[in-house]
Amino acid sequence: MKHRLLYTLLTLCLPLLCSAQSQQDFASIFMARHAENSALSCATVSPTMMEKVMQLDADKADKDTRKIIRSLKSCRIVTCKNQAEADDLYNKALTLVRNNAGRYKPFDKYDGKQLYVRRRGKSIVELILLTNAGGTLTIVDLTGTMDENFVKQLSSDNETKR
Amino acid sequence: MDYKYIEQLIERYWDAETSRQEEQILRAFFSQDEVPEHLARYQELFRYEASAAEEKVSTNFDARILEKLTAATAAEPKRVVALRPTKTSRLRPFFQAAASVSIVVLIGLGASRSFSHSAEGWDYNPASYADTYETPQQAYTVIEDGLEMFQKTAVADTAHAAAKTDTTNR
Repeated sequence: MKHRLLYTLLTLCLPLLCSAQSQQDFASIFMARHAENSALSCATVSPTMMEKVMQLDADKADKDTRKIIRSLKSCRIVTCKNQAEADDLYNKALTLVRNNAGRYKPFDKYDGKQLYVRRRGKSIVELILLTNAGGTLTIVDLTGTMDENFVKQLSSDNETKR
Repeated sequence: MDYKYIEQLIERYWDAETSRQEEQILRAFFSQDEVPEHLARYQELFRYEASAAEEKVSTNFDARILEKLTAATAAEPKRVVALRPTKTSRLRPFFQAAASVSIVVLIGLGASRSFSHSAEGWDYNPASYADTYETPQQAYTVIEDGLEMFQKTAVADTAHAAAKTDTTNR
């Protein structure tokens, strides 16, 4: 009887454990699959570090950048500077994001830039930029609580506006 | 009076060395009303033995026993019916197991939904992030580089679009 109760409680907790571990961002999934034996590198800024960045003094952080960071929870930048591998890895990244079409929707379709978003309700919780320019693959993966205006502002040509 | 012979017989009796005749002597001796005090404790034993030896079965004992045995066998035998397990009864344990597992899983899912974040908002596992840099200043530089990537690609797109427009106009 004691063992049955224990097994029942453990079974009840299984869905909790599964749901807790199921949410991974695109960059971490890509690195898990393709980082081994490749020139891929990943720079990670965790939610904890992001909060510390928000607390930086005004003279150490740009005001506009701080405003953007306020909507972010994490940042991962995956790069491959090996030209020989960059094209292949870029195609693999595209394949991975398109194979998860239910999760990642295309946001922008300019040449040389692939912008995908993951929505949850009304918010955009993940923003993925895939570029392969000058022999360098770059994947920028931002997570947080964003909206369409934020993404458009981020990806608009501010240089021209200035 | 000397009762040494009786005492010797009693000793031989305990050693199971007495003959039938000697046992009869002992029974006869102890059947008397007056028995020496030091031998009185054996009187009940030999009197019981004497009375038990006289018991006999009645003459119709065999007939009565046989009659009872015959009556028992003549009674109708109990009918024993073997139950054939139907398909439903054979599968019942599996249905019960499936039902209990479903209930447990449904309760677990309901609990996980109620404890999880709302349908909107950030739902990633914070523990899955391991910082590459130790200081916020270094992390800020990385974030700036990332945000700059968005700008770079936007500039390239604008230039590309402008070049296309020029070609079309010509």
